[in-house]
Amino acid sequence: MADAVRHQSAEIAASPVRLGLRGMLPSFALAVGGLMAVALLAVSVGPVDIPPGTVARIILDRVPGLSVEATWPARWDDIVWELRLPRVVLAGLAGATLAYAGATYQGIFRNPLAEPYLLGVSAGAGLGATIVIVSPVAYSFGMLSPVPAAAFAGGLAAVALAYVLSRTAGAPRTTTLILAGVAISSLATSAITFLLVTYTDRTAPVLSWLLGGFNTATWSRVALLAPYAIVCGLVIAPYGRVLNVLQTDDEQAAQLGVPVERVRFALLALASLATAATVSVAGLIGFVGLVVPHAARLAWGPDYRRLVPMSAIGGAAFLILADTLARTALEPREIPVGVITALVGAPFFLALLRIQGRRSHA
Amino acid sequence: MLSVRDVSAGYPGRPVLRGVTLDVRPGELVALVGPNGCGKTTLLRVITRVVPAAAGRVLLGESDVAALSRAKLARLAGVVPQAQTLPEGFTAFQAALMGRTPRLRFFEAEGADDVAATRRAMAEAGCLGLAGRPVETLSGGERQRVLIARALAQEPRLLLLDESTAHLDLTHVMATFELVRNLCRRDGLAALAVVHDLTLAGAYADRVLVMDGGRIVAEGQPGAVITPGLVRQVYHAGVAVLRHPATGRPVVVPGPAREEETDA
Repeated sequence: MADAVRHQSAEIAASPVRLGLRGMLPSFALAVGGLMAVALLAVSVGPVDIPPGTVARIILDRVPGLSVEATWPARWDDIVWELRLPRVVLAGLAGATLAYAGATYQGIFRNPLAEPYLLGVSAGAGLGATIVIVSPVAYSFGMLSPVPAAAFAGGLAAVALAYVLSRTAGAPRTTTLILAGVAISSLATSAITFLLVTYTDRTAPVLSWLLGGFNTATWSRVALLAPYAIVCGLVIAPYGRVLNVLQTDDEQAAQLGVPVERVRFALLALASLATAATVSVAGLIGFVGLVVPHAARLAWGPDYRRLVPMSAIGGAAFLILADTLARTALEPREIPVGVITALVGAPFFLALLRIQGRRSHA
Repeated sequence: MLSVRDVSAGYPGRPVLRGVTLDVRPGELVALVGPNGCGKTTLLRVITRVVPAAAGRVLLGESDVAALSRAKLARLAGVVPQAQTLPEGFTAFQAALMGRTPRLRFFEAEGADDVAATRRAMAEAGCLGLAGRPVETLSGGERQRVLIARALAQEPRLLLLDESTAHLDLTHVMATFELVRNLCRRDGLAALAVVHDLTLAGAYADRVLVMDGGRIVAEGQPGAVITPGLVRQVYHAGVAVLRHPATGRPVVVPGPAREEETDA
């Protein structure tokens, strides 16, 4: 009896340690492996099908210090390195960013409906992009398109404005913040609509930007997004334990030693920065930031130490798959990737909810 | 351990505390009683700086709470809250382990000593057997014990209890107060407990503070403070106060109503 009790408490003692970084490694490694497989598959399909094994060798060939015997047509090298790989990497980075930003937003607002566009990043970025696209001076910048920069600035300005407004409106309540975000969003959206009906000759490029996608992916776009996506992600991830504590309520979290306002501000700033960077290179892609964190929560539980990295990996895989479908399903035409994320994501999500419901009733 | 000096506080347009002064010494269990809305919970919030003091000072040991970081404050004062919200999806152990938050650096993960301290706290609060249970499967009383364990895992010098036994059955009410009293005696913990039940306050507290309208209106040994006169003055209710046959502590019995009373 005493032995049984001792044994049980030894197990209890081990459980939180298993929850730490070391305990995450197996599922983390599995998820990264899965993501690699998805990426490889995505690069291999297209108008010219290249076997995944060959794709791997084409990629490895450019790794310094490795030399692989080139048994493939020289053209494939360009297809992989200049066309498909940047597109897959960009989609992966965007998916990862939207998903971990979504998980972070859901965590700081303790609201399962929160997503990275909640505070107006999307509408602000859309307005920034639209202003530049309709403006006659916009294309005098030469080769470098000012659209991503304008979208980035617009997105951040919208969130900052929502934050400042919510603070001056009294106590920095999260509800006030969300409402301020909604107000800013609708303001920016109506400004976009106004510009669209005023400059009818520019409607097409604006709409195509708003729909989002990766058909213009290049390594330079990857280079624009990667620093924000990676740095913000790496800074947010260690907040997992504190995010867990924040799931009680603000008062309890404060009484447990968490500087709640400071943490919320830091996480909000990081997640919004990463989202604005994503929107600026990929346009508005819905559903990823909302659904992927939920799927991750259903699969791996509510611990934010897992949830943030797993959302990132899941979001990357999801958006790579969606974008592959977007460019191959109706070849040679492209479907907007946002349509795919919703079309595929919604039923997938409902199925997950059903499985979860059945499990909890069993 | 705790000194509250002439503290006023409140919410915009609604002053709640109007010059509260009190002390809780190490090793002492003090009960705070008073009618609904008199400011008891606000006082606990001011002590933990969730609500700022508009005037006056709150000292924990030598330190003014206004000058302490959140983490330092939470290492000194642990709260067993009135709300029973525990983060969904976590186990009771993980929830109690959150009490280690102020003892960890910001990005640090829990180590073996945090696990040991949490297990000790859960054993003391009588909920180690619940360790593996998801919090959403816990009853109200079980949640309360996990919250007590979480506060003990903070290893605080001052324990603040906000009606922490309201959801417990008699066994666990007694176990909780005996636990707190033992921790006070054994470890020199200081405890301030908001209690609604006057008999309970009288049975366990070393000292009783009576709060009304944002002020401390009476203070002292339970037997001296809990009287029919005071209850009438503060609660506008007629009661009889008997003596416990074994301990001599006050036992508050409702009635007769004020109009029928003869005893002034």
